[in-house]
Amino acid sequence: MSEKRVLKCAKCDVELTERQVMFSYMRRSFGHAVPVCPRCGKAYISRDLAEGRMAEVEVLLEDK
Amino acid sequence: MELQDSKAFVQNCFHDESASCACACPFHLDIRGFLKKVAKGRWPAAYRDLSTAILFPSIAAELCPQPCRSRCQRESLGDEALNMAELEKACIRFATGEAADFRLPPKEETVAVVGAGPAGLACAIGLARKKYAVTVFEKEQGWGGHLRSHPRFALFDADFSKQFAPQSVDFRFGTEADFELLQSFDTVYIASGDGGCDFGLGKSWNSKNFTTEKAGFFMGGGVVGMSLMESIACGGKLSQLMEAYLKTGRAELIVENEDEYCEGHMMEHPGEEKKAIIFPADPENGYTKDEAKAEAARCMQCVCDRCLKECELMAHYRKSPYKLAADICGDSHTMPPFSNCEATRQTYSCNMCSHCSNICPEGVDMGKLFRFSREDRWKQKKWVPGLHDYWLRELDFNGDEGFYCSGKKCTHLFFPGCQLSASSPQQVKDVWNYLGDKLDIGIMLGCCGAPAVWAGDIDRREKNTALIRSHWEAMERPAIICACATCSDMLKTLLPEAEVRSLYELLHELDAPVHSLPFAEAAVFDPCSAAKDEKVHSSVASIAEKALCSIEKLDDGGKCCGYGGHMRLANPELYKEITDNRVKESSLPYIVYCANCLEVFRSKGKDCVHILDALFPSASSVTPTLAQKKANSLRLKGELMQEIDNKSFVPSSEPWDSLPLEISAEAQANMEDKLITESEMKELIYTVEAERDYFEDGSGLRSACLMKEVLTFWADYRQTEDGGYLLENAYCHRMHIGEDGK
Repeated sequence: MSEKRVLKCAKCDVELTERQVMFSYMRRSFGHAVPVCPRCGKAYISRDLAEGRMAEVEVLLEDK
Repeated sequence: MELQDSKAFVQNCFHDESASCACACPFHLDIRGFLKKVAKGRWPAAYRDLSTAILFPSIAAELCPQPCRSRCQRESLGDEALNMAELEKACIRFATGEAADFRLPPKEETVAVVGAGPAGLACAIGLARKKYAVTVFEKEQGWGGHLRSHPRFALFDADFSKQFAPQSVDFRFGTEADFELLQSFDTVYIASGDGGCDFGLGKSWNSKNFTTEKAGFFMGGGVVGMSLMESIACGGKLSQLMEAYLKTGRAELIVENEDEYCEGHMMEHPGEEKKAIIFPADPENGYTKDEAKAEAARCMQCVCDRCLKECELMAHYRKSPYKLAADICGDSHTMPPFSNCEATRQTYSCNMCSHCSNICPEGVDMGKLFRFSREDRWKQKKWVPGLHDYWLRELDFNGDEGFYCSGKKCTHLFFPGCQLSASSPQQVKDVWNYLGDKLDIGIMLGCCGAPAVWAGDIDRREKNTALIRSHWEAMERPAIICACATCSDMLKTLLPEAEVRSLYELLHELDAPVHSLPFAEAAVFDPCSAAKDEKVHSSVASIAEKALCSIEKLDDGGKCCGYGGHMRLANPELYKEITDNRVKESSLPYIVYCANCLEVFRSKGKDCVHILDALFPSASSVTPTLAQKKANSLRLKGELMQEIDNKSFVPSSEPWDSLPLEISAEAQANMEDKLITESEMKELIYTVEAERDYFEDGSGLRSACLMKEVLTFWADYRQTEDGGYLLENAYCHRMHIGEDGK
């Protein structure tokens, strides 16, 4: 899954573009750029991101 | 939470206590630290330790009666105690450089010391190093007091000169102290020696804090009957107490530190070899450097750290029990996001197996402290729900749709536990049928409450206990027969009025027929929750011996397989380390009698059977998937309801249950690892397909998510030609995507 996929939002029929999205966890929130449908705004989180950097940040915030 | 609340769990721990030798030392020298430095040949650092604690190292090296040696734990091995006097002399000889000194600005407060004997000089050097203006009155023409007549006075004289060299002290030799003059000083120490002048204050002398009725006048040394070493130690201590007095102006606030006067714990030294004392080859000139280093290396560095060595969690974080108790109290008062916690990961990484308590000479149980902390975090809503979400939902299922109780009055109640029911429902039925022929017995399918206890979720724990209690009471309080040691342990605590017994003990008593197992030789892995239950151990061993040629008893002291405390998601790396270690304890296949141990070991590829396989052979040696486990539980409930109540049971259904879904091997493995259920994936695909709410790439691979209260699930899947779906990837995260990312 390390290859970058070109994704389309099936509902809006448009390609996803990178955009800053707000994430929140353990009473803290921050922004990070992820692929997002430019029309409906839905964000895509890849497995690499979820189980990599995102999991690391989850642990960091849980430990705080 | 108050500090005393968390510290109460570790109050008997003596890890941070001084060693027994240091407790006996009049100067409370950190002998362990000193000898460690000597063993490494760090002479100046070792000398600094001596000079700071003992003040005049040469006097102690020559004249101290060495009470430390009577508390040296080498003697418990049949060895002679460390040769402290010779080691001190060697250190003094080999250390180069100046005496201890502190880089401090001069202070204005004035101090008078009456007497330049060892007691007065000890106090004077202590205060001079802190840069107070010290004046010493001595009627004789030099320092040393009664030591002036000692044959080795030249040595002591040199030591006094060395220690006072960096200091500026006003010595007034040949001068009798005048009481009027003394009153002009901010504080005064009377150390006029045996038979010396006490200015009429002797009767009011307080042996606890060395004060007299005259404010600011302290007294110690030979004038109040102290020995030489006591006098020097008292002088050193007085320099601290007088400084405290100068800062607060209130001598009554100065109290003795009782802790310093503890005896120090003697401990066991398993695996420590005997080592004979080393004497200097040339007694006249003392140790060579190598001899001193070798003798100092005989020190066993006595500190109780069994839990820090044997528990993977404690070894990983290297925090002493007291430090952890302090951190846990601190965490209770943090205010995220403005202040941070210190021990969250440790708290949720504990298996709660009580192994630490079993090996601790004082029985300190860190698991109880961590459970206290988990409950505190849960109460304050500072817990981490994602770490326990799966198991708590499983508990909810087992207390609701998965729950079943035969209901009628009986003398015994079989409680197989949710894990055995889910992983091996046929064996539960076999046991139930077998016991039904022998005893007046009912059955209850449910969870003991361990997931709630381990999560610190008090509401769920109480709700689940109330459910079990109400049915148990309706059955007129039968003896509960548990197939799982964790259930036994939990129910004994949560339902203390119930008689709780192990199934394996009962089956052994009933002389249940035994079938052969696939191994000729195996090791019995006793579960941590039955670590102290010798009766269960012997029952299981007897059953196993009937089924096998030979049995090896593991000497693991009841360590957890890794499942306990539900720490797997909180600390996957530590979980791996723990499970790897358990699997390696014996190369033989394992016989277990806990469904969780079985699942953990099989997931590591370890050849392993449940003891029930010897009594009621199981057709399968494969761990069922999460979906199969749930289906097993419901099917078992349905079959029992049909058999016992002659009622049919129709499990509830969801619209996505019939979604045709194939799961790739990779996705299935990740789902089992991350505890993602097939039902969640079906719900996800069913929901997003209805509204085309997914992303798709050129290959037709679709990606979509389902946000639940605690977790967000993701699926990478594609539609198959027959209209079904193939799941290629399943994953989840605990972080929430903000509104702007939907």
